[in-house]
Amino acid sequence: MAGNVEDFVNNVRNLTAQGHFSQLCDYMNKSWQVLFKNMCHLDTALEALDLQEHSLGMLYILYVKVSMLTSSNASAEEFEQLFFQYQLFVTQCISSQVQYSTGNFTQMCHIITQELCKRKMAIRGIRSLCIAISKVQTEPSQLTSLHSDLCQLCLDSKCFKPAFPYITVEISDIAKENGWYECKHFLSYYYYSGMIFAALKQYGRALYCFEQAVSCPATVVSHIMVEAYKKYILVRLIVEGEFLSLPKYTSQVITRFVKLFTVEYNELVQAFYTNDPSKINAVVESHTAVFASDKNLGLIKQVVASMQKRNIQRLTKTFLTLSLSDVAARTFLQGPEEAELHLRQMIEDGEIIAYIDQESHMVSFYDDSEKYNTASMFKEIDKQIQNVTELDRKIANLDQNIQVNPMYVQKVKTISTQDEDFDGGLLSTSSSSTSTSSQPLSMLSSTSSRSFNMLSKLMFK
Amino acid sequence: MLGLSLMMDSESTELSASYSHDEALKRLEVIENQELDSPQGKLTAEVYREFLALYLLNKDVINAKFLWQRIPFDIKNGDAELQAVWTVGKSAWKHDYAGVHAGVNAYEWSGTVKRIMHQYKVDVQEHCLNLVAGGYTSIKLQYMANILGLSDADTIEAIQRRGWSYLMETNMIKPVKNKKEINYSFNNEEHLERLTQHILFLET
Repeated sequence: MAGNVEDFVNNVRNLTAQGHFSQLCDYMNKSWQVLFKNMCHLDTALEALDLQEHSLGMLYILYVKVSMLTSSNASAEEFEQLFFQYQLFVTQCISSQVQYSTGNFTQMCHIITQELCKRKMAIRGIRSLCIAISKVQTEPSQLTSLHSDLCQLCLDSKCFKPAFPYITVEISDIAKENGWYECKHFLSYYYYSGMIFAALKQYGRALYCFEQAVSCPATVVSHIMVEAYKKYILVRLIVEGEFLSLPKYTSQVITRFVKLFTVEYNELVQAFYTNDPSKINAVVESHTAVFASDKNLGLIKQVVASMQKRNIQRLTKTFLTLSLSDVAARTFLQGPEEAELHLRQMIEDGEIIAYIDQESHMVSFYDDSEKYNTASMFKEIDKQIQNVTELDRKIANLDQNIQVNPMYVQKVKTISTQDEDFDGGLLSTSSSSTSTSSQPLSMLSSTSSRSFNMLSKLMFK
Repeated sequence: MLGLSLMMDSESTELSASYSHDEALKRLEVIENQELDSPQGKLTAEVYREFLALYLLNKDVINAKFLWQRIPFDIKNGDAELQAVWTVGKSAWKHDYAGVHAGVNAYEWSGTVKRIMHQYKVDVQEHCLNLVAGGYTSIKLQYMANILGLSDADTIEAIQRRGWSYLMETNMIKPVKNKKEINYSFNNEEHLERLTQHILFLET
């Protein structure tokens, strides 16, 4: 082993034994050069350290090895060996030591993620990344930069279930990761989770995720936001059947400029409003190349299908009974058989309440028969109330944290003399606190409105 | 459901042990973990068959589709049974129940998959009966027989067991609407505690 690497190893051992981890970080941050120059000795250095004891030191050495992947084309064999070391490290390292240098730890995981995707073996990284997240997180509702990596691996391997616990949890905090956490991670986390939900046809949740990505406070339009905006339009058409405007708290720069990048999609929205499949198909056909390169053709197919459904749903509001051929004529379908097929599918999915009569070729529509008097409905309402209570608790906590934040107190002091609306100023200066607080607030509106709707229905019964 | 499984072909009566929902979920979880923990991220064709069939049984066609997409090409290309499972899956994706039954009947399934597929067929029949009860006031016998995957005579027997009527002159079946199951299984103490919590929240 070369002399200076040996020094490095000895220092790691000594400082670890004494428990001076911050000092160890300082020392190692100055030693990058030594490690990069002695690549061939790094494996020996790793062997000289103990994973259970010197996790922090090994992290630095492993990080140097992994970061070489980006510059050199490692052979499959070399990568396998390194990947094995990485997996071993992630599963067995001591969380409390890694916490001193989460930045390097997450950087290393990012590189491995990119390599796995490049080498088309994304599924192999999922398990170790889940473990990595648990080592970095201080609580399950904390968002780390590894969340977006995990979503990426899951999307790339088409294996979505492992990501589910991470994308369904309500985020209440963001890890700082020694300043390595970037807005890119935040945006791509919501963008990817939106994509996962959309793939699983959970459009309501997908809409929420894309909305988070689009409405994140911003001073410039990022590429991720543009892509999220495109998908947001499509999913919103599927969920709500219309696209009016972005949420009020969206940054001005987004509302003003994003439309310029999405001309084709705006056309699609206009065609959607005509309720005529031939018009929307014409738009899709004329812009197929754009939609295909955005990889949104699948979603667009769903938009067309949802328009069809809405056409049928609209009939239920005007008619009590209708012949199948009338249904077909009014919804631009080929014939009674196709109409029956669509009706059957919608009945099956609980989207309409109707009874088909094959004898007279008629269909009769009924109103929602939900009486809100079943045990399952009670459980559902109970769940929603609990959600809202929990949310209230979280918001109270956040509010308390802001109240005692020195920056906030300072600001209030200076501004209260000017007697101005200080909210705007505060929002732009402390973006980290706004991005965390805007989520629960917007979430509040979605979950609570749902449960309040249900409650109000109940009360009027 | 019991009635149906009785009148199915003799072969299925041998497989009297039905595949319960809980059992399927447990087994699915085991295989999902196995996939993530395998060093290459791959399973054997045999496990993939069971995996895919279990997703179908679990009425999770979406995940079944993505599983099919991620199975390595050489494995799915070299395994006729795996392909046969997916043929059934494709029909299920399109809500083509006649196709599901045709797919299940067309292949001589092996071992575990056989058990799952037979249970799946029974489940789909039950699902179709519920669907018709909740969406039709009269339905052609032929149509009903198609989506149940049964002969005309067996279909009549099945629907009559449910208390539905069949009119020979018009060849129509008149289904009886589903009664909503009202299940008042409450734990009173827990219920009271919940309500107390809600009030407490509102008061503070």
